[in-house]
Amino acid sequence: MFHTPPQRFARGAAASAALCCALATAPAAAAPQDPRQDPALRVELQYIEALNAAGMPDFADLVLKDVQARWPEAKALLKTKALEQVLSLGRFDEAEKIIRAEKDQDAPETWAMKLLSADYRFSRGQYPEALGAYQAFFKKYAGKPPAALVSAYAQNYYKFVQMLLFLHREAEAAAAYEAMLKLPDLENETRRQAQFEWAQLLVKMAEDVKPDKNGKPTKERTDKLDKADKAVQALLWEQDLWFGRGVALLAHIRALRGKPEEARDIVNTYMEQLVSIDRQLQEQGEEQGVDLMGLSPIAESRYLVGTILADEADSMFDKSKGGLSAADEEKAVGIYDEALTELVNVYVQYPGFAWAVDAMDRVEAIERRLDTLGYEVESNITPEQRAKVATKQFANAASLYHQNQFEKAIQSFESVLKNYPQVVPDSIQGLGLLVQSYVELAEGLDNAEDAQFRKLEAEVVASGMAERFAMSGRDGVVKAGDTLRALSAFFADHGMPDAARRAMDDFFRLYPTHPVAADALLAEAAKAYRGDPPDYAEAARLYTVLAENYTSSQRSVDALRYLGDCYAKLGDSAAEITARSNYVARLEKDDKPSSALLHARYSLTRAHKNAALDRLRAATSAWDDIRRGVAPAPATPTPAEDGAPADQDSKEAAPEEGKSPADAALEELVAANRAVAECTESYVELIKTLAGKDRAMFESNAKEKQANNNLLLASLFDAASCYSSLNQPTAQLPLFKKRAIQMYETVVKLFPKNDNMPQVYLQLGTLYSTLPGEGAEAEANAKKATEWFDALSKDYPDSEQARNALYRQGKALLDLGYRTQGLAKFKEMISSPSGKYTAQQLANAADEIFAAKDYALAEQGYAAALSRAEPEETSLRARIAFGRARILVAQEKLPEARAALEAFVKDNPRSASVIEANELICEVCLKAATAEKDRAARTDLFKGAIAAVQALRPYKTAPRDAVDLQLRIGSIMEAQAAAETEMGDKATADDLLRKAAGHYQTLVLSADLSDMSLRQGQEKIFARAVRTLAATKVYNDGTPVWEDVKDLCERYLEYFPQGPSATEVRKTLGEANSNLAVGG
Amino acid sequence: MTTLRTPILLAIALCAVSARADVPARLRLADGTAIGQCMLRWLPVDKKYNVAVKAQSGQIVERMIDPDDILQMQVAKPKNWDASQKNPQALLQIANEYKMLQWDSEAGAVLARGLLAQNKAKAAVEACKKIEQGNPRAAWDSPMAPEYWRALLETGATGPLTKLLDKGAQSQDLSVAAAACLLRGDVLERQDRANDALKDGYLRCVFLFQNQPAVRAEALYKAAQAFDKLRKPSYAEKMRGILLSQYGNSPWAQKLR
Repeated sequence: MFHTPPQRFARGAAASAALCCALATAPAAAAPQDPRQDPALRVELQYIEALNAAGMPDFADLVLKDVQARWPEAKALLKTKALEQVLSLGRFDEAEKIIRAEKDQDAPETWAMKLLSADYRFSRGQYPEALGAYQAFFKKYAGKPPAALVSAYAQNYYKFVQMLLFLHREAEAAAAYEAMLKLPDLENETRRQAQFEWAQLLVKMAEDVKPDKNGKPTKERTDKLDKADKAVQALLWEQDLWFGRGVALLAHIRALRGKPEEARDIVNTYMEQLVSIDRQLQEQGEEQGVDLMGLSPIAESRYLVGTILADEADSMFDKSKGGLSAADEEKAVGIYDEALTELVNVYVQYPGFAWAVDAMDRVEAIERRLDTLGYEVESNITPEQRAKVATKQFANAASLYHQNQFEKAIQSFESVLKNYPQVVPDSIQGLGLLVQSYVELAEGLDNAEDAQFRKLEAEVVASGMAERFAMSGRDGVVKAGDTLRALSAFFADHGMPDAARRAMDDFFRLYPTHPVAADALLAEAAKAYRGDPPDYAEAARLYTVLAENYTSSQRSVDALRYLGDCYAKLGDSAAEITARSNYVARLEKDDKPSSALLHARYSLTRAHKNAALDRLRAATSAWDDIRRGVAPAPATPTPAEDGAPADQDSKEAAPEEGKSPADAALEELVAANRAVAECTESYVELIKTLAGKDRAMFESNAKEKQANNNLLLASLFDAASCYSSLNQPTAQLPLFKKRAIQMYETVVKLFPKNDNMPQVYLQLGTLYSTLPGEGAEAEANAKKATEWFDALSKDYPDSEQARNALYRQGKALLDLGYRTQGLAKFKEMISSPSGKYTAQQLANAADEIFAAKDYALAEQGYAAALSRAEPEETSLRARIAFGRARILVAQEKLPEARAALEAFVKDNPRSASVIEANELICEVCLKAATAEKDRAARTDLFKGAIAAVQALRPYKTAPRDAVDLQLRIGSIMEAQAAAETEMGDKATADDLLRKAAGHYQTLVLSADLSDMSLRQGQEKIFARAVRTLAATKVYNDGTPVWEDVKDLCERYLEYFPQGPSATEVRKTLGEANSNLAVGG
Repeated sequence: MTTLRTPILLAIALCAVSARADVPARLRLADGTAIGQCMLRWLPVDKKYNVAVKAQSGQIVERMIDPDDILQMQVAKPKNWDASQKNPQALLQIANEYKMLQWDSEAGAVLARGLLAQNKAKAAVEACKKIEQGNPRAAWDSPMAPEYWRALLETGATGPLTKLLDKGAQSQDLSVAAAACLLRGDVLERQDRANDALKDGYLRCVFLFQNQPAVRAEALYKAAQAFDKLRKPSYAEKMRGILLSQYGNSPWAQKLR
C-alpha cells in the first residue's frame, strides 16, 4: 500500500531549476532595466522552451548562446537556463566547469546549481554522483540551513528520499525520512506528509520481513510496525488528508498484527471524519477542476476492509480440507458478499484510486470462486463505469512514466492492460507508453542482457499493438497509427533503427486507411528514391506496398508510375515493363484521359524498346561472331518469314539434320528485329495521337500541352532510333532508313529549336549517305547527305556531331564508290592540326582508308592516331598496331607482316583481333612458303602456318570448328609436300605426304560418326585420308598401303555413299583392288 | 494638439503639398484610444497625420498625430481599387495618392506580386522602392513587405534585405513577422548556412507562428530539407510528420509525395 503522491516529486529538475531561477534573479529584480520585461527576450526564451519541448536541445542551445550575446545584462537570469541547457544535452563536464567557475562554491546559488546538476545526473542514471551531491549538501548544512534555504532544504531532502526509494534503498530512505522529520523549521504540511510516508514505508518494510522458522513474526517486523503505529497515531490529532490516510494505514497495521477486527473497528470509528474529508476532496477537486478522489481515505479504507474480508473468507475455504459445512459455507459466502460491496464501491466510486484495478481483480477472483460454488453474482457495473476506471488507471500509470518511474510504470501498465486490453484510445496510449517504459528502463540497466531483453519486450509489444488495433474502427486506427509512427521516431532517437523500421513497416502494412498513411508511405518511398545515395530497391519495395495495399487511394496510382522508374534504375527491364503495363492499364480506366496516360504509354514503349534493342545488339553480335568464325551458314538458308533474301555470306552446305548454331543465331536475330519493329509500331501510334486532332482530349492546360510536346519529340526520336537499328530483313533496310529519315525530318520541322539538333542533322546526313540507290537517286541522296552535313558544320560547328561529320562523310562517299572524294575527306582529317580529332577518330578514319585500299594513307592515319593516343589507351594502341600489320599483309611485305602480326598476338593475347591475326599469320606464312627457295626457311614458314592454326584452338572450341582446324592443318601439310615437290625434293615431299596421310588417318580413327553435325568435315577427312594414303603408295618401311587404302575406301563408301568424293574413292578402291590382286 | 476651425484652413492649405485630400479612416492609437470615424491626411512636411473628427456639437476638431502613436489604421478603400488590380500604372497612382495612407503598401503588394509572377523581380524591387521612399515603414511592416523581400531575394540584394528582415521579424503583424522569419531562412539557406537558416528562420516559423498556416507549412517543408542536408533524419522526420498531419492538403505536403 505504498505510492508516491505525484505532485510532490518534480519531474526532471524543474524544482531545482525554479530554485536556481529564484536565487539567481532575486538580485536582478531590483535592477532599473529588468531584461525580463523585454518582449523580445521573452520571445527568445519562449523559443528556447519550444525547441526543448520538441526534443531539439541542440538548437535550443544555439539560440541560448545568441540570447546571451544579445542580452549580456540578463546574464544572471540566463545562467540557470544556460546550465540547464548544457545539462539537458548531457554535457556534464561542461556543466561542472560552469559550476566550478562560480566564485563562492558555498553560496546558495551555487548549491542550487550543484543540485540541479545532480537531478540531471540522476535522470541519466548517474546515481552515485547525484546522491553524492545531495549528501554533500546535507552535510554542509547539517540540518541547519540558512534562512534563504529552509524550504529548499526540506524540498531537496524530500527529493533525496524519493531518489533512494527509486533505487529500492528503503532502509536509507527510512533513515532519511527520520532525519527530515527532525528538521526544525519544517512546514507542518510537509511534516505530516513525510510522517505518513515514513510510516507507510515502515509498514512495507515490515511486510517484506520473513517470519521466523516457527512462522512467527520477528522482532524486526514487530519493531517496524510499532514505529509505524506510533508515527501514524501522531497524525490523528489534526483532520486533513493525512489524517484520513493515517486511519487507513493504522487499520492496515492492525490487520498485519493479526487483528482484523481491530482494523475494521478503527475504520468504523473514524468513518464520519473520513466521509467529511472525502466530501472536502470532492469540493476542492470541483473548484480546481481536477479529480482528487484518488486520494480519498475512504477508498483506502474500504479497500483495506474489502481485502481483509476477502482474505478471511479465502482462509476459511483454504483451511478446510474436506469442504465447509453448510453453515460455515453460508457464513463464508456472506463475508464474500460484504467484501464485494466494499471492493466494487472502491473501483466504481474511486476509479482514480491507485488500487482500483487491484480491487477489480479481487472482485473477479471472488466471483470466480463463487461461481465454482454454484452461486450467481449479479453485477450492476455499467460499461461506462468500467471505462471510467480504465481511463483513470491509464492516467495513473502514465503519470508514473512521466515521473521517470519506469519500473513502476511498467507494472502499472501491465496490470491495467490485463483488464483493459482494447479500450480506444486509452489502451493504445498505454501500450505506447509501456513500450517507451521498457526502452527507458533498458537504458538505465547495467546488465546488457537484461537491457536487450527489455528492448525486445518493447518491440514485441509495439508489434502486437499494431496488429491488435489494425481493425479497431476509425478512431482506433487513427490513434494506433499515430502511436506507431511516434514509436518509430522514439526507437530511432534511442538508437534502435531496426525497430524504427519495423514500426513504420507495420504502420504502412496494417494501416492503409489511416488518413496520412498513403502520403507518409509515398514520402518515405520518395525519400529512398531521391536519397544520397539513392536506395532504389527500398523505394521499389515501398511503392509496391503502396500499389498493392492502398488501392482505394490515388497514391497507389502514383506508386505504379514511380515503381516503373525504380525498376528502370535497377536495370530490371522485365519488372519495369510489368509495372508500367499495370500503370497504363490503371490510367486507361479513368473516365477522363490526360497527358499522364500518354506519358505512361510512352514510358512503357520505351521500356520495351530498350529491352528489344539490347536483345538486337546481342543477337547481332552473336550472328557476327558466327560469320567471322569458320562455322558454316546453311547451304540453303531458310528465308526469313517476311521473304528476306538468303544470307549471302554462307560458304558451306547446310547440315543434314538438327539446328546449327548459325541457324539458331539467325532465328534469334530475326526475332529480335521483330521485337524492335513492334516497338516502332507503338511509337507510330503514339505519334499519330500526339500529332493528330485527338490530342486535345489529353491536355487541359498549358502544362499538359508542353508535356505532350515533349512526348512527341521523344517519340519521334525513339522511333527514328528504332528504324535505324533494324538490320533484318535486309531487303527492307532502305525502307527502314527512309522511315527514320521521315521521323528526323519531322523533328526538324516541328521542333526547330530543340537541343538535340546536331544529332538530328548528323543522323539525317548519315542516313541519306547510306541509302542504296542507283544513278539519279543515288546522286540525290548523296546531295542531301552533303546538305545535312554542311548544315551541321555551319549551324553547330562546336558540337560533338560536327566534329565527327567529316569522318561520316568520308565513309559515306567510300561506301557509295566515290573513292577519291571519300579519301580526300579522310586525308583532310588526318592532316588537320593536332587536337582537332581524337586518336579514336583518326584510327576510325585509318580503318576506312585501309578498307579502301589506300595503304600509304591508311599508314599515315594510324601513325597520326598513335601519336595522339594516351599510354593508358591500350586497346586503341593494339588496334592501331593490328591495322598497321594488316597494311603490311596487304602490301605483301610478308616477312615484316609476319613479324608484326606475331608481335601483336604476343603483346595483346586478349585482343578481339587475335583470331584474325592468327588467320593472317597462316595466310602470310603459306604465301611466303610457296615462294621461298631456302628449305629451312620454307619449313619454318609452314611450321609458322600450322602454329597459327593451332593457336586458333582456344577460340574455336565447337566440335565442328575443331574438325575444321584439323582439316586446315592437313591442308598445310599437303601444301608443304607439294611445295617440296615443286622445289624438286621428292624424298622430302613423300615424307611430308606420309605425315599428312598419317594425320588424316589419326583423325579417321578418332572420328565420331554418330554426330551428324560433323558429317561434312568427316567426309572430307575420309576422302583426304584415302587420297593421301593412296598417293604415298608405300609406308616408310616399304610396306604397300593398298590394304589400308581399300579399307579406307570401303569405309568411306559405307558412311558416305553419296559423298562428293564417292566417285573418286571408288576409283581409288579399284586401284587398290588391282594392286592387291597383283600382290601390292 | 486640438485645433479649432480657423486653423483648419491653414491645415488645408498645407495639404496642398500632399498627394491626397482627406480620406475616411478609423484609427486605434497606441494609448488605447479608438477613433471610429475621421478624415485623415498625411502631412509630408510635418511628417504627421492630420486627423479631423466631427465632435458631437457638429464642430470639426483637428489634431496632428505622430505615426508612431498610431497602432492601427483602417482607411476606406480607393474607389478604383478593384478595377486597378491588373493595371500597374493605376496601382502606382493609387500608391502615390495614398502615400502613408495604408493603400500605398496594399497597392505595392499587388504590384510586386504581379511582377514577381512574371519573373520581373528587378521591376518589382524598383516599384517597391518608390513606395518605400514615401513610406519607409512599408518596406518592413506592411502587406507589401513580404513581396518586396521576395523580390530582393530574387535579385540577390541580400545586404539591404537582411536589415529589413530583422526589422520585419519584430512587426506586430504576425503574418509579416512570420514571413520575415521564413525569408530569413531562405536567405541563409542560399548562403549555405543550413544551421542558421533553421535556428533563425524556419524553426522560428514552426514554433512561434502556429497560427500562420501558409508560412508554417512552407517552413516545415524547408526545415525538413535543411535537416536532411545536416544529416539529422529524426528531426527531418518530425518536420515532415507535422506537415503531413497538420497541412496534408497544402502544396508543400504535395511536394513530399
